[in-house]
Amino acid sequence: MSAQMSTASTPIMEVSIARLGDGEPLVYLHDVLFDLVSSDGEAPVLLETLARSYGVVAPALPGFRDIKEIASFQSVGDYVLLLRDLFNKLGLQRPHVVGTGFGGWLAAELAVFYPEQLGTLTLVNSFGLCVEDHPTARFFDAAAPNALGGRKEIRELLFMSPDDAPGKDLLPDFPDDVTNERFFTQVHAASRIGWQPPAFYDPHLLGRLERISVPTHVVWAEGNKVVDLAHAHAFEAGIADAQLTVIDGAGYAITVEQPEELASAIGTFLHKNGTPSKASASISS
Amino acid sequence: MRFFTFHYMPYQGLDAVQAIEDYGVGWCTLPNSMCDPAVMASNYQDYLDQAALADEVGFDGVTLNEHHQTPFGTMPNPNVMAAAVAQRTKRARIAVFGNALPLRATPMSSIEEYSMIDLLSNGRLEAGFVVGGGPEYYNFAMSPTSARDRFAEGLSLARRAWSEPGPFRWDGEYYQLDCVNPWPRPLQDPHPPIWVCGVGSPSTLEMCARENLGYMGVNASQGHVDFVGQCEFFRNAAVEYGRQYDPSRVGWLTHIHVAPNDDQALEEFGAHAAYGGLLTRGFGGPAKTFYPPGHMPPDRLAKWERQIRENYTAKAMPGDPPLMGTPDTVAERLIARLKDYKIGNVVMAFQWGSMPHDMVSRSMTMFAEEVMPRVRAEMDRYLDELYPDRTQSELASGGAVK
Repeated sequence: MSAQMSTASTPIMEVSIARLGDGEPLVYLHDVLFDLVSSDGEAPVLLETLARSYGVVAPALPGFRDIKEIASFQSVGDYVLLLRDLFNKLGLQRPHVVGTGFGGWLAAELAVFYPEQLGTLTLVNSFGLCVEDHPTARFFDAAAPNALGGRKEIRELLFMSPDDAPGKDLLPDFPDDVTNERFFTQVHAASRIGWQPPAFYDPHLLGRLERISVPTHVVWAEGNKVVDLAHAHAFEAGIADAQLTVIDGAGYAITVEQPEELASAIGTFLHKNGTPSKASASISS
Repeated sequence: MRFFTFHYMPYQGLDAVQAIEDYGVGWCTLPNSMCDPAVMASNYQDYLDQAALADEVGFDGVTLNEHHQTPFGTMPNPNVMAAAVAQRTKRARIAVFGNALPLRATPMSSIEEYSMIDLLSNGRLEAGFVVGGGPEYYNFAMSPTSARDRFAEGLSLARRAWSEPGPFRWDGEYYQLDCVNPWPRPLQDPHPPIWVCGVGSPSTLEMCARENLGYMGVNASQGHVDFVGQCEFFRNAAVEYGRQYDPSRVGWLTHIHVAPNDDQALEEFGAHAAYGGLLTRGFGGPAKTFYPPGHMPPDRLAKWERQIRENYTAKAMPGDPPLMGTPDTVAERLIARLKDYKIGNVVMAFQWGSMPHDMVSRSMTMFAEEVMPRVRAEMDRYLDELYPDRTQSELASGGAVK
């Protein structure tokens, strides 16, 4: 399935949007290194699977893929305002919002500040919290240039099977300069707001989770070594209407290691919390 | 032509091989329980003696620099050391290459301390500023993505604070100060010569050429061809900005070792260099920590990573002839290098790794007596020929003392 590519004009920037499928709108917020629809519309399996039941709207955020970074973006709030502008521009009425990792952090912040903008919230292996005794792994260390070691360290952190596809395909050890520049561009964009050790958090978010008033699904990979299960429990405990699903046998990169299983878990929750549709029943079955 | 000594001031009391075997790193997380203060105090005394020797035997200046949380370089605040050097030297310039501006809560602390050093040394400071290396951005938990912008703003503030009467307000993106009014003022008028230290980023070179600032290339392991390219870039940029190129605006950092014969020089350096080489290890691999993501533009980072890999995996490193050998060998090679660079300053690390005080002192003395006069005469003649209109700028002369 090829995504339909378009742009939406917001006061901050022209946002590149990929659309797949029909049905209730589902905004998907991508992670640092994965889950982006390519500029020519090639969509990852997770999004294709979700698009069987939902109208997936997947923006590409500044600094990622081929989208120029915005130097003034220095806090997560800059992304939240951009997303709110985008929702308004697209006329999205309380869509489902699904975010993974970095995208999950943005989704959680959006739900804190503008809960009326969302129908439901799904946080997959989400960043955003600083949890005592469970520091987020040193992502930026693992993603630092490593002339001899290649991308092994970051693969080992993210993937259950670091030396097999899709890890090796997505993060090859010694890629050509263009692929390598893409990798560092995305890590660079993430480090603008995520660098503060241990990594990727907003010190205020934990105390603000109670403001999230929409039905929330916290989905975690049991083998997530980047943000461990304690983070999942913290999200679950902090958000009033939250349920947790833990998926066995997957690492942080569950979106590419087990996309079908993940889509099924996402669909089950959305089916219960959205307008029922035949299609959403089909993924969850 | 000006000749500076350079010093990392390493801590020399480690079993470096064992330390790297045990911890894999020389920076950031190497436990400080391995630092014996008595050894450090004794190392400091040797290094101050070396600064005094440089002054005595005729070097134009001595150079200090800033590193944090590593035995590789033990001057977390080089200004403290500069104050000590000011009391142990009489005529040599004191070059701090440099203060890492973005790591400071405010650039004002650097301005104030530099003014003090200038006064304490009777107007001998060369004021260097640096973005700061990768490890520092781990140590200081500061995102490297804003480092260059923060640096540029800090530098603008420093220059204005030294050239415009205070008090004035500063409303920047990173610094907001109600009152910029540094006391005391430096002795050199209008202020100490300003250097920006860099490793070849085109944007840094261009800024220095545009703003008429000194550029100090501080990557001692840089290849010859690379640095030739940087110098050419700087000269062209200066001309583009409507200014005659001034060789006194550019400097180059190198390792050096002089001994009675070539083999001895290489052997001595080799025996002590490993210590320094081991301590340059970052987290878990060659040079991994030095440019964390965000520290330089992604396209440069990608190319840098590939180049390092190619250098490490090349069967035979082409290698530039090292500045190690007899006075004749070193003089010939140094002249050849400097002529290719067409620059007016060379900064030389005589002490490196575990090289002991006596050996460093001998090498420095031989250089000052047998190499420096010859290179100075040859380079001054060469630069005069190339740039007949060149004037000894305030930078080269160190500014007028008020």
